Formats: sequence, C-alpha cells, structure tokens
Amino acid sequence: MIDCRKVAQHLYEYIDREVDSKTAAEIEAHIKLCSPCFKEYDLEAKLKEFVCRKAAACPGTDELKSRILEELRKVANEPAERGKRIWLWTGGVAAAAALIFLFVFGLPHIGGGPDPMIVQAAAEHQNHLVATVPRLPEEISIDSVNSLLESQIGFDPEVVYFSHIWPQMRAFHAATWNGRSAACLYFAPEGEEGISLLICQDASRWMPRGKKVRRSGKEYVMASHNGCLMVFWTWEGMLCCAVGKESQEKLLNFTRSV
Amino acid sequence: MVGNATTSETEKGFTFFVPNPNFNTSVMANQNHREFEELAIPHTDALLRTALRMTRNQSDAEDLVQEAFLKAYRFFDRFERGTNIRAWLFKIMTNLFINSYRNRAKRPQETSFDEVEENFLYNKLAEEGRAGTNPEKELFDKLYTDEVQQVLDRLPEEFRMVVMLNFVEGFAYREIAEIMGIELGTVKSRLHRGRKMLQKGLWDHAKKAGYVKEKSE
Repeated sequence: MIDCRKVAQHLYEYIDREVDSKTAAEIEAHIKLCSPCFKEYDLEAKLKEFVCRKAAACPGTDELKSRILEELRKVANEPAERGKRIWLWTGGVAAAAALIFLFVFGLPHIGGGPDPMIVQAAAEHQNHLVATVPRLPEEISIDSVNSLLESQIGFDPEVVYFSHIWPQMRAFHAATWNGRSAACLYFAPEGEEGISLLICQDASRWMPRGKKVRRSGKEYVMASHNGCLMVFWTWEGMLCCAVGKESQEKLLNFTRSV
Repeated sequence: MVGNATTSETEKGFTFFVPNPNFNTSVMANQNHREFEELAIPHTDALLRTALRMTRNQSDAEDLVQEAFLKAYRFFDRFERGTNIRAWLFKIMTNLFINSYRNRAKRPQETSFDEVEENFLYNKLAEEGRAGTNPEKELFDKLYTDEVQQVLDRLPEEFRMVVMLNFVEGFAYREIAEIMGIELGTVKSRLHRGRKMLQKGLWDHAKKAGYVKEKSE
C-alpha cells in the first residue's frame, strides 16, 4: 500500500500522466481515502488546468498565417531559377571530370562541354545516393546535422566524433554508399589545407587528409586511404566527390570489414 | 530522398556523386509544398502562444514563428512521415529561439524564486482558513488572463519553457527533453520548481493586487 510520502513524491508525475498504470491506480486509491492528499492533488490539478486555460489564449493568427503562406510560396518558387542552371552545372561536372582524369591518368583525350554520356548515366543511376544537402544550413550546429543524419539515413546521432573541429566544417554530404550509410564531411581547418572525410558506418570512422590541387582556378582535393582514391571539390557550397571504381570496391570491402 | 542527387559513370570507371540542383523543381516539390501546408500550418496558433511566452514580445514572437516555418519547410524532406510533426516544429522553433532570439528577447524583471517551500499555495490558502471546498476558486476567479501571462513571463526562461510545453502544449516529459535537448530528469526537476515558482508568483501578484490578504497582515 502506498503512503502519503510516496503520493507527494509522485503527485506531479501523476497529474502529468507520467506514472505507470500500477502506480497511477495506487495513487488514485490512496487519494480517494486520504483527505489531505486529495486536497493537495485537487489544488495542483486545478492550478495546472487554470494556467493552461489562461496561457492557451492566443491572439488571432490569420494575418500571420497568410504572411507565412506567402513566404513559403516565395521560397518554393526560388529553386526554379536554380534549375535553369542545369546545363551550366552539367558542364561543370564534365569539366571537373576532365580535370580529374587529366590529373589522375594524364590522359589528354577529354574535350569540353557537357558529356552526353554523363547526362545519360546520371538518369540511370539515381538510386545510388539517398541524400544530399542541397544547401548549407545557415547556422550549422551539431543538432541540425544530427537530426539530418538521423532522419535521412537512420544514422545513430551519438556518433559524431568531431565536435571539437565542428566550427571549421564547411560542407557535408550524407549518402548511402552501396547500401551502407555514409557521410562525407568537408573540413577546412584554419591554417591547414586539406580535406577530411568521415565515413560513418556502424560507428566506424575513416578520416584521411587530402592533397590540394589547383586547376584552372578551382581547387580539388585528392584523398587516399586504405588504397582508395577520391577526388573532392566544392560546388556552390556543396561537396562533390568522385571515386574510382576500383577504389569504390576497396571502400566497400573496408566498410564491410569494420 | 532518392533523386536528390545524381550518380554518373563514365567509361573510365569513375563514379561521380554530385548534388542535383534541379531536384526542387520536380513534381515532388509541389507535393511536398502542399503536404507541408496541410500538416504544419494548423499548428501556427500553438507555436505563436508559446513563442509569445518565449520572446515576451508580439512582433518577435511572430517573426520567430515565421522563421521556424521557413526553416521547417527547407528541411521538410528530412521530416519522418508519420512521426509527430508538432513536436518537430516545436523543436525547430525552440532551437531557433535559443540560438538567435534569446538575446533579442526583452527581459522584464525575472523574479527571484529562491526556496519556495513545498505546497506553497496550499499552505497559504490553508493559513487563511480557506482550506474548505474550493479554496482556490476565489483566487483563480479574480485573476485575469493577462495577469497570469505576466506571472508566467516573470519565471526564469528555463522554467517558463517547460511549464508552457507541458501545461499548455501537453507534451510528455520525454518529448520536452527532446525538444529542449535536455535530460528527462532535468525536465522533471524544472517542472517541479516551475510549479512552485508559479504558485508563489500567482500568490504574490494576487496579494499586490489586493485579491488576497496574508493572515499576518
């Protein structure tokens, strides 16, 4: 049998419906019989109801609602203009591809202009990636990145190792890599050149430093780890990443082994 | 979110991962837009009344709500369908308030509430020999809405917020913990202390306004 002390201890949780059903039944039975406890309960419950009623009063929001809807429509129409730059973007990809091949293989056979093969292949391989961050959040916080990772790729948000260097983070890119959760984080630590890559997968981490290359005014970073080669560059504040097929297989083996 | 990015392969065996800027113009964006309006906009009233108690200022509160909606809209593809959108919106708004509005918020004098004893209001009412039936009725009947809101506004922010989220918005302790990014135990203890402060605040206000008299006076 529950006593007055225990009722007092759990009274607020009882009122807030935060106790289990067994405790709730015990408290209910007790306050039916115990007048001081009932009076306490009654006053607290009424106080809650009273404050709720008074504080729930809200000034009209019709004007605010229409203002918000208008703003939302404005935002919704913005990306259409971005879309017009698709060709510019594709050209950029082709050019980047050319530069990377030149750099990696020294092959002189790449021409300019959008590569129809890339456009074609792009249409066919959409399923490889599940998530990107189209635009950097204005203020990047661990919370926002956590909730992004959590909601998008079911990534355990506790596994963020880099809080101490977080302020230097410039971009990140969440993806699945051959069905495995992965996130690329691009860091530009002050006074240091290079890139850090984090592959988050079952709490494993992978963080190579890269070598910075400059071609035609654009910076590329080559990173290699465990024999995997990757080339990164940023585009409109986003991190783009190219991975060799061979490296991709190695990478897959690497993530399987951890 | 399949289709938000593009993978392309070349004959040289390189795979490119690049964000697709055309994504937002897809049909999906239109569906998202409608869905967002239907799911999120009905919570405007709730968000505004809590924003008012957070910022304690009408125009800041409206700006905060609007900004929270825009932010939620931008991140809507990360909202897990079927989960509680109300809690999600409140979390976004609370983060926004803490990160960028808190310092702007006009700070009326916050009452210091050191050591409010347990059962404060109950004891006060009992002292006056009013502990019969409905001793609180007289007090509650006299207090106007704006007076109660003023009393709330004088609670220190961390207590005011948990009281609003629990009393008014009806969030469970673990939801409040999630929204405010604090421990469950912290929610409990803030709510406990918040209640005591509220009792003292209401009593002191009622005394000042002449609604009640202390027995000793």
